[in-house]
Amino acid sequence: MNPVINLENVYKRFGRVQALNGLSLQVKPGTIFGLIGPNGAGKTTTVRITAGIIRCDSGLVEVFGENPWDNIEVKSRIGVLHERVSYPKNLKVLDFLTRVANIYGVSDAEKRALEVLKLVDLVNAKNRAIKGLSAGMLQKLGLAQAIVHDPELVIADEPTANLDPLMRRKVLELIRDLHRELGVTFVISSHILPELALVCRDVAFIHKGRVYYQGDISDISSKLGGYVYRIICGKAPQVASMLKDRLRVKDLEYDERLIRVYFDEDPGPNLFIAIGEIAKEIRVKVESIESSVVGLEELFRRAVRSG
Amino acid sequence: MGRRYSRLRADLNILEISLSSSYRFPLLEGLAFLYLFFPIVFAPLIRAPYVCQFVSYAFGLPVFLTQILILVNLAYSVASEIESGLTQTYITYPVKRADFILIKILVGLGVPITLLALAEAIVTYMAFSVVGFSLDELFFSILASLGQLVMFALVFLTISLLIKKGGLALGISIALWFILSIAISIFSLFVYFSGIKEFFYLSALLNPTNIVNAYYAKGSSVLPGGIVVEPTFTEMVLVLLGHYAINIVLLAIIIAYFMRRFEP
Repeated sequence: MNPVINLENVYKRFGRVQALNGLSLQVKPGTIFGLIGPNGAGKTTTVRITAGIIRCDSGLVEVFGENPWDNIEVKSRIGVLHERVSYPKNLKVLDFLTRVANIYGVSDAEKRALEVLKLVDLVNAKNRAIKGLSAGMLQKLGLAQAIVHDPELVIADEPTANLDPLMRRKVLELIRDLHRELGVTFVISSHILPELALVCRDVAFIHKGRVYYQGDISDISSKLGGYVYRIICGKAPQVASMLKDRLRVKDLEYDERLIRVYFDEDPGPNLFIAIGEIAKEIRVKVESIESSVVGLEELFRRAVRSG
Repeated sequence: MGRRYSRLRADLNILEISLSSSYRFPLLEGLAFLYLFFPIVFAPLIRAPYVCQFVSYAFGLPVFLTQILILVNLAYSVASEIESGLTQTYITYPVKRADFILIKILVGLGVPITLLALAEAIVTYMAFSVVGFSLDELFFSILASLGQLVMFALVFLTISLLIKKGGLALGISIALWFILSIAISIFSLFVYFSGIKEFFYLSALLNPTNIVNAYYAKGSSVLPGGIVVEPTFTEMVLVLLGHYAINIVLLAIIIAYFMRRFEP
């Protein structure tokens, strides 16, 4: 199956800032794809290049097999929700959406606009001026204008930015429902990792303009995941070194007081026994031992670390 | 749901949105329109025996107001829209970049300039219909009066596209406006005192009103030393064409920049 989006070795520089540094990623059709990375990682630049808004300096950019720059054919097949939503503020919601539908050549544009407003739960605000909408309503209008023409691909850049937690969840649920009902491929960028884990299966970790890891979240979990224990104690470097000799540790990080130990399989009581013995031998106080399955945030950190 | 994309329909919808956003409360346009009555009322007081002189004297204020109007319009409808992210939203839709910038030029420059040209034509016709005048004089006078306005407007548009911030673009445009006006005035003074005819033609490329006046109001353009500038019809048309060619090149550069390089 041909990828909907194919980026290969893409570079983009803004003045002194190297925004994308050889970024490559592929998005399969019919998925909700997550672009994960901290602020300044290059997510928005990736989204803007993919949507044909800016050009890359070098590399291959293909959306539906074509270069998206000033390409009407590609643009009419995608919908974009920008991070900074901005619409003509004096227009009324329904008027604006009808005009957007008209731009895409949707037949019976007003009827379709109303359908979409119902879908995003904004029909009650159809006669309100855009300038009078709340941040959450604007985000919903953003989604509505991105799907009004029934696109094959929707790109949403930080769709939950500036929203309260309740509204964030609602917007993500809306994306999940739209994906389920319309079968649209979604690309969502976010720096809020646990949120993306709720809706995405395929993800790419972006950092400093590069993709550090791309694939199914479950695959990544099995490769980089496992069990992690956080141990707070004195003489942490010494304890860490001794722990490595006694147990089958996958990876280990530590500073003066904190040790983070990774295991492929849960060591269970063996870890507690080993820590107890070490503490006795070198006379240190162990303050706490916490365990957890490696979360998305931890996976991201580890993917970047492992390069 | 069916879909039948039409580039023209897409462009018309963008045009409709841009027009309604830019001229929702046309207060400045209204004021400029009221000022257009100024020449009608005071026409008998303006001692201008020639249409070309009448146009350049009587419409000085309306042209100045239109310049302000265009400047504000471009700063707020082009630069501020880039700043707020609205331009980014528009070019996400299936609209060609060239079409989009032409729509912006049509709304920002085309509408006020067309209104001014119409008003100039109607008012001048009313003021001179009793005396009688040739239509070509009216046509070239208006063309010359609007040329420099278009040139300034294109410079403002370039600034708005490069600065991408409404307030800053407005400030820089105003500063540049003063600098350009002073520079053109100094150049005109230099041309006058140098007494060299060729310089006169060169300065007319920037301000074509001079050559239209020199052609129709024969004997009115006298340089020091009694040198009278009396251009032929062909020379006047060539200078006007040269002036508009500069405008067209500026326009082409703006469109090419927006199509190939512009990033909101």
